[in-house]
Amino acid sequence: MLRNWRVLLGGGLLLALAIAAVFAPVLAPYDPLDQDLAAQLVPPDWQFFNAAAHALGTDSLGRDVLSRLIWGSRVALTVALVAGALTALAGTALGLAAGFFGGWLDALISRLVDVWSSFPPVLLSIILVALIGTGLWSVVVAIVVIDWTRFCRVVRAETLKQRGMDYVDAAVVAGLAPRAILWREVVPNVLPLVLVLLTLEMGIAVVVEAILSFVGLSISSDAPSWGGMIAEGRTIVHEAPWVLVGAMAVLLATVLGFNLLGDGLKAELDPVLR
Amino acid sequence: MSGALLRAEALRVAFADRARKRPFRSAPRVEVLHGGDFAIHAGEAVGIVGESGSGKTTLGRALVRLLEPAGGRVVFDGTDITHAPEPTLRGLRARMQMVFQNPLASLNPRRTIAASVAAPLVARGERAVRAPVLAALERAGLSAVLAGRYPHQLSGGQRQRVGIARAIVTRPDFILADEIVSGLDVATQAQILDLLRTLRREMGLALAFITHDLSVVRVLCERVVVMRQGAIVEEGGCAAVFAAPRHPYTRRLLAAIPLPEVDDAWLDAAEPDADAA
Amino acid sequence: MSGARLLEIGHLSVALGGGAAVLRDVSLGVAAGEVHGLVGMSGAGKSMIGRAVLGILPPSARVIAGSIRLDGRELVGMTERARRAAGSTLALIPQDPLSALNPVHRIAAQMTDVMRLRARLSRAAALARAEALLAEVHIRDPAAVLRRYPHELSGGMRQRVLIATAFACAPRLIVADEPTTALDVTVQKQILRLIREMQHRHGTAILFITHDLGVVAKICATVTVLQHGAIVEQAPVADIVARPRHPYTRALFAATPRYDRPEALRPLAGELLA
Repeated sequence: MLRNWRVLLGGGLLLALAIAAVFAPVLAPYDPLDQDLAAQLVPPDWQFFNAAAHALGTDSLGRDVLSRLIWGSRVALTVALVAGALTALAGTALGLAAGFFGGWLDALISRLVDVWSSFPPVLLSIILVALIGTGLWSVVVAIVVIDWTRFCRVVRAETLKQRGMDYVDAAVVAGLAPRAILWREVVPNVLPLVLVLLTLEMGIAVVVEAILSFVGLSISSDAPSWGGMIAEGRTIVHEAPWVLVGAMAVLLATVLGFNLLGDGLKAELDPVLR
Repeated sequence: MSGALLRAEALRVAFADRARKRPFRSAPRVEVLHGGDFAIHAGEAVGIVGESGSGKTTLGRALVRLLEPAGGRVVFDGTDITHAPEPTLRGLRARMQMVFQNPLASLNPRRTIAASVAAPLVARGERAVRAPVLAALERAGLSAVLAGRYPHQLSGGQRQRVGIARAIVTRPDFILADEIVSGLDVATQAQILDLLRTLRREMGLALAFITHDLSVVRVLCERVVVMRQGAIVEEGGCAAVFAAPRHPYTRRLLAAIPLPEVDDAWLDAAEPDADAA
Repeated sequence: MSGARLLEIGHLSVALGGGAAVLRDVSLGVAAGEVHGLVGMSGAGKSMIGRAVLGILPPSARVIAGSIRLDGRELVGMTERARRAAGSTLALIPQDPLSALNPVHRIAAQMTDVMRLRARLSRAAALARAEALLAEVHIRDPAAVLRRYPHELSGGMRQRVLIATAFACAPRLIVADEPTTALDVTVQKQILRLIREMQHRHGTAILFITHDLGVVAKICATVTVLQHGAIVEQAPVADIVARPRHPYTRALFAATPRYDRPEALRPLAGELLA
């Protein structure tokens, strides 16, 4: 698996992100909330190993951009992991149930998915966050509530396909109970797909958090988050483009990392392709 | 036919035709098997023969209750299983097994050979499966080395042997074999047929053998059932049916088999082009 | 064995990219108007010979030695362009009549495309010719069938369409690659008779690839038996059937189930399979 360049590059980018998030207090040269009104909009001076320098410059309040990016990775990673996992769990469970048991349960879940998907997602999330209040956990809830259909649809379709396979019939003839068939025959064949979707979903979660920060519906604008930095950077893009560029670059690298990992895993987890 | 191991009476099977479904109505049903009578005794081999669309696979699947019949009765060893709920059926599954047409599709690609063969034992709640699994593999002519492999790493003939090993691992009374040699070339086919003959002799298996190939039936079975368009058109002992087929369709089928003998008149005797509509 | 035969394959060897030989020193000849059978098990290389003649070897395979002469013209090493120019002397009847027809085009388009390309017929002329050909393969309402899509036809009908298409450009040689393997036995007999009828009428030679010794006995005049890419026996069909000389040929006959001699079935000995 480690010979696949997609897995290596994607995993590498995400590993860097994880290290940044975990060791943020050690790695960040400044306190991300520290304002220095004497050093506003200082351009980058690229001295990464000089703690006194602002390697990626400062923003309009004199906060160190590099430090804010490093601390912002905590928000991004939390959202990616928690929202991604919960979305996958909810969508997969409902998709498996609908596809495997069929009948009224399938009809109910499928109609729910149809109705759900007909709402514009961004609008829905803004309404949702407006209702339950801003903050990181509201963002997570919004992502789960909106994106579970993405998993549910795909998992249901794949489960239906698996149900039609001869080896499921063979398991029935062998005398396995439905629950055992679900776990032995269906789930192992659906799981790789879920894993691939999960990596994509984590990328999406990071972007959604950034969008909600951008419109001021995530954590407070003081706290370091990439979306908030993009929002702020946009207003001062002519004086200090480095704020916008820095935040966009890490966002891009993160989403790229998740997508590469997903693509690579898709190929690696197939026993026939491998 | 009172002492039959497995018996079907006036068996009817219908499928929902989703293509003609209307909103808010249940889909119309299309009957594909119109009242089949079938019986197989302990230790007996019966060939179920027909062309595509004859309903032979449907009959077979209804016999082992992979399908629930729309009408009629299926009785296995005195137990009426026509509408038996799954838990009741699970108690009987170890005694009635099935081998599928396409072994690559009927073996889970993500499970090892040993895990697939062990499934019927696991279903019975058995824990010590290693010895019986290896014994079944050996019976089916497979080396124990293959137990840890995955289906895609095996040849077509080996995969079909795995399917057979899975079917015999619980020492069943009855096996349904659905077109299990049709995807194989003659050499492999002959080996599988030879294996089935041996297994029948050693294990006293009753075998329902679904196929489109009358020659294979003659080689393997004592009795034959000929099906066409969802109905049984002829039934009888192989020797009698092959020597003097009564139904015109059986005669047509037999006449269409190209024997490996040079016979210039054979093709001239082809019937008028029935499907050229 | 003079050089006057239509197709002359001499010492042909074909290898896969990795160096594994799939055909070894294969020599055979087909006279004009003759049906020559290629028999062997899967992997014996019989389809590979057909593909080499048609110039459609898989990308990984290449001719490493030998010649293929059609009407005295060398086909090995011929450029694509030259092949296209000479193309109408060759045609194919494929194994799977469904995948050989494009599902999104009507029968009319698929039949006339070939004729307009190869025989440079006008649209109207090609249509008229297609209709005449369908009538010739005993399709009762050719005009109606021309308007249909492939999935609307039965397997036997599709094979009739493909046979008509194969004869469309008056080929000298047709490669028939297991043309009846996918068909029901009663339909197989009709299709075999049709192939022989068309072949007699047009004086076309056929390289008939099959694994079925019964089919060989009924339609071929001469036979080549292949094992592991090499020829084991070559003779007129009456000799092969009555007095197979090579042990492998004898074993193939013994492994073929016969309803008239059920007790005679013998599986191949292990050393013949290896």
